[in-house]
Amino acid sequence: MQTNEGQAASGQGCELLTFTLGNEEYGIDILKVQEIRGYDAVTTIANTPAFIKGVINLRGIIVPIVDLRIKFKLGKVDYDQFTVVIIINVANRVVGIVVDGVSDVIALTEEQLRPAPEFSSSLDTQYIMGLGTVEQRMIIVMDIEKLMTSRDMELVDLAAA
Amino acid sequence: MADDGGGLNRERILAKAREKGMAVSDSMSDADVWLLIFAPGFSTAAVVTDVSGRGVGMDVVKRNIEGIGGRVEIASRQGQGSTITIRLPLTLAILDGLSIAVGEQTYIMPLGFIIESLQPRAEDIKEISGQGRVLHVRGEYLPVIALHQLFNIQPAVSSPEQGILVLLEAEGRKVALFVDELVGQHQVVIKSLESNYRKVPGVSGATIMGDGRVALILDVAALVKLAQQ
Repeated sequence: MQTNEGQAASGQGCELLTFTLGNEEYGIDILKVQEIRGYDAVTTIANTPAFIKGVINLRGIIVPIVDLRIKFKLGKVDYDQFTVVIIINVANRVVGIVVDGVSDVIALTEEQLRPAPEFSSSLDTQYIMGLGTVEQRMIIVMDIEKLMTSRDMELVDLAAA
Repeated sequence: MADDGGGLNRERILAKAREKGMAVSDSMSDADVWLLIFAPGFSTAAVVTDVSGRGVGMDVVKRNIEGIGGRVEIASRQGQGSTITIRLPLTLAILDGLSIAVGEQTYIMPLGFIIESLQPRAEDIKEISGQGRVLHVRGEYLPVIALHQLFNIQPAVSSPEQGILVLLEAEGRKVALFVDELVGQHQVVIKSLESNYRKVPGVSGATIMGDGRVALILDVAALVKLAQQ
């Protein structure tokens, strides 16, 4: 998996799906995206962190929904007909992430990708693959697989993480 | 399974049952007598070894088969042999459950654990040193577990006499689970939570209800344990 992401990030560049969280624009590898849908009512799960909204029925499979706006404390957290859920496929799992809006699909070449600077510990840069520049917009390229399987997302069993 | 051996001996089983102080009578039907051999610690064996004749085997068989929703039946004629019929459910993916509501959530409780459900009178609920509540029912005191407290959800009703207590038996212990209301009985298809998420304490899986919503299936044995912590 590491090598796959390495290839995607370097070499010929990669295609990214970009979405917004608050005022920030993020990009994730489009090959990890399964579909984009609206926000349905979720079934909440007891004793989970606030950013795990619960589970939904996606055509017969049970899919957990994570609200990245709560996780990253970005954007206003309300749910209406414009709220967007990106269904992604990472580490043989299907997970839905709630974002403020989906903006674009962009191709990013290696030259456009800059390494992320080291921030303080409040923002964890280990999930950021780099910063991309497209038409004066800065896109934070996120390593969504690493984020979703990380310990602090609490999405996978600790034994498996 | 059938054999052509001696069959079960009605008199010996009855004599043994009386010896052990079980409630039996000579007028019991054969089927009821045969059921006695499933009782824990019941054996008519004259010779007992380290493993054999201790009355454990049939008890374990019955408990395990019933644990997955099956049944065991015995037909026997003395001197001609016995037939033991084991019925197993076609699939373990379908579960008979009772759906219950707490706040805005619906949960599925496996029917096999449920003894009964009742709406208690206020005087049947007693507090113990301000810490916990017990339900007095037919001479027994059962601990009351509030599902909304275990799961940190906002209930629609806060006192047991307005809601429903479901009496559950798991791992030899009885508890009264306090829920808002009973919704109905369903056969549900068990879906794994773990394939895309992880194990959740107190929940054994999930299912999809008729309206497309997801309902979580309660793990009764784990709930009983959770409540004791």
